Amino acid sequence: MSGAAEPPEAFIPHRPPILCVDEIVEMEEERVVCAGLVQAGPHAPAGEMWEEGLIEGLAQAAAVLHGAQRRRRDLPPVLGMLVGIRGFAVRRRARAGERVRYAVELVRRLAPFTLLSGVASVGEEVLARGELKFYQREEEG
Amino acid sequence: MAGSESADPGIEAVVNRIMIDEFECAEAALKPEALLNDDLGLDSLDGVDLVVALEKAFRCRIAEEEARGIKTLGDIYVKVRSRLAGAAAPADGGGA
Repeated sequence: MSGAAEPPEAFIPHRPPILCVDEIVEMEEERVVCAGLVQAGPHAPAGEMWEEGLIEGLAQAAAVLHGAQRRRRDLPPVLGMLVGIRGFAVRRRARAGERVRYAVELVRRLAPFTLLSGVASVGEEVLARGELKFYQREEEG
Repeated sequence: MAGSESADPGIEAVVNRIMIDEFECAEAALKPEALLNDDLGLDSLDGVDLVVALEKAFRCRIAEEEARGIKTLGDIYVKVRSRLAGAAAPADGGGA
């Protein structure tokens, strides 16, 4: 699928050490799965990724999806930001050395907002799930 | 704007429950002419949540252009009623 052969950085401006995702595992029209190795850093200062880090990873995956969708329509990237989370449950923190999968799927778009569902997991174990709401700046001339 | 002569108590009850449960609206404020933004306190961030909640409750699809035309609570009643009239699987009013 489009974009799957490229790194996440091809679609989002995040760079280490705040970049949580280092691979696009699956890419579909309205769904993406990214993955990232948890390393000691801003999101995991003591060897454990904060809950916010899992949300950030899902948000970065969502941004990858948004970026890929725009590219498919030959549109330039636009500024986007996470503006809300809902129904988020975190079962445990990710640990340094674990590879986290961030699966995000579009639920609904009502421009300039999109609602997505996200699941962060390690192997078969779900670490966190919830809904994310994004704002994307409208087209610019 | 919803006309009271075409009101559907089942639809209105489900919509009102959504407004109370999801958006913390005061029951007394839930009048057909109530503006979603000015009277009921919804903001631009709530729009997509409202559409998703309505679609789940009534198992229908509300197009983006239609959603943008919703300004009042009565608009929601009318929109849902028209969606259900055009769909084969109406809600039973108890699944919200």
